[in-house]
Amino acid sequence: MSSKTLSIAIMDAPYESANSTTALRIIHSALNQGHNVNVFAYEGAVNLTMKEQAPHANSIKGTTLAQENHPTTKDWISALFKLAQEKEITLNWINCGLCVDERGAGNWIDGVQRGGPADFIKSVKKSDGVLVIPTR
Amino acid sequence: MKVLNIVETAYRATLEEQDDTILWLSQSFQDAGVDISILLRGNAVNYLVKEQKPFNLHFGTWKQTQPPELDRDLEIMIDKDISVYAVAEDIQERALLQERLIDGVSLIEKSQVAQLFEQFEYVWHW
Amino acid sequence: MTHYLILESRDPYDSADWVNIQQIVIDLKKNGNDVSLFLLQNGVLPARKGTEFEKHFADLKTLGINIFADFFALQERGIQDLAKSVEKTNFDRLIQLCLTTNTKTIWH
Repeated sequence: MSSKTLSIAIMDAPYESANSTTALRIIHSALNQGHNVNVFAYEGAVNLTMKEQAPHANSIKGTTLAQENHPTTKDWISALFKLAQEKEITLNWINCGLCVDERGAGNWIDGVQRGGPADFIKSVKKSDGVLVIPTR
Repeated sequence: MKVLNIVETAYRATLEEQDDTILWLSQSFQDAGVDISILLRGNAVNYLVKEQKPFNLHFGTWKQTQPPELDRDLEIMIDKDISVYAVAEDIQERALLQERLIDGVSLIEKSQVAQLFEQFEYVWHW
Repeated sequence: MTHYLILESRDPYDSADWVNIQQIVIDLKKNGNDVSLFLLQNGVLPARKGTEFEKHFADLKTLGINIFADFFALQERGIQDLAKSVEKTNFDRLIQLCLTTNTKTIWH
């Protein structure tokens, strides 16, 4: 199968909406099929990649940290970067710089870059498919 | 590159952002060379109402200035040759009076929305 | 010919705007486009067999609109039996549809 490129814009902050996991599943599927993916994280979505995210145990369920295997979005996204590397394709992840500044969300995992709306438009022009997932 | 940005959700964090983030983004897209148009549908048609005056927002001694002025933002966008469309039925359902709306907006019926999509290379529903 | 891929994440029980988008889906098809409707997240809820929306999906199918439902979202909600007009599928299919030439993908 020939490699294509998908550009995707996302807006939701982690742990607030089904949209975040859906977006990451879509990115995973594209990468898994050998396609390059450009992500533009706008507004709350810049928090998806914050390095300080930490899993927790669940006292209500009585599970330990290890038993709970609590997800963090930054770990899911790190795994997507690793998948792209293994498949020798590109996952280009840009966090909107102004959105980062107003949220103090500048400490992020490896692979993420700072950018702006113009970067999203540049990636759209080079893409075979574009998807915008808004927040509400 | 012709893009139609559809705005439906209204007043989402506009007091914190001092903007509607999609109207702001749309102007950034224009600056990046996109031929951008806006379709207001659902509650976002309320952005057309003139003289939206957010109340005096303050917290303790912090007085917030520079409130969002969404009607003004749209007027500025229209002045910058951004076409703004709005769904007529959504305006009627919300009892918005024509004389209270900003000028320069193209009203379309719900049944014309699909046809409008045809004019654009990309249609993004925010 | 343009292919519209409409991703419906909302459902008619919760969203008053659902019906408006369904009408746009119909209008896009009647205007001569290829149209795929992909149900995901709570958007799969009306696709359960026996809901009042079964006929609506059948009508869309009759018009030539392909209707897909995300298998993951169906499993997540314990939906086993689907309206006959709705096809269970996965995001690999969604990606293939999205990357098809002349496709405009619109999320709702």
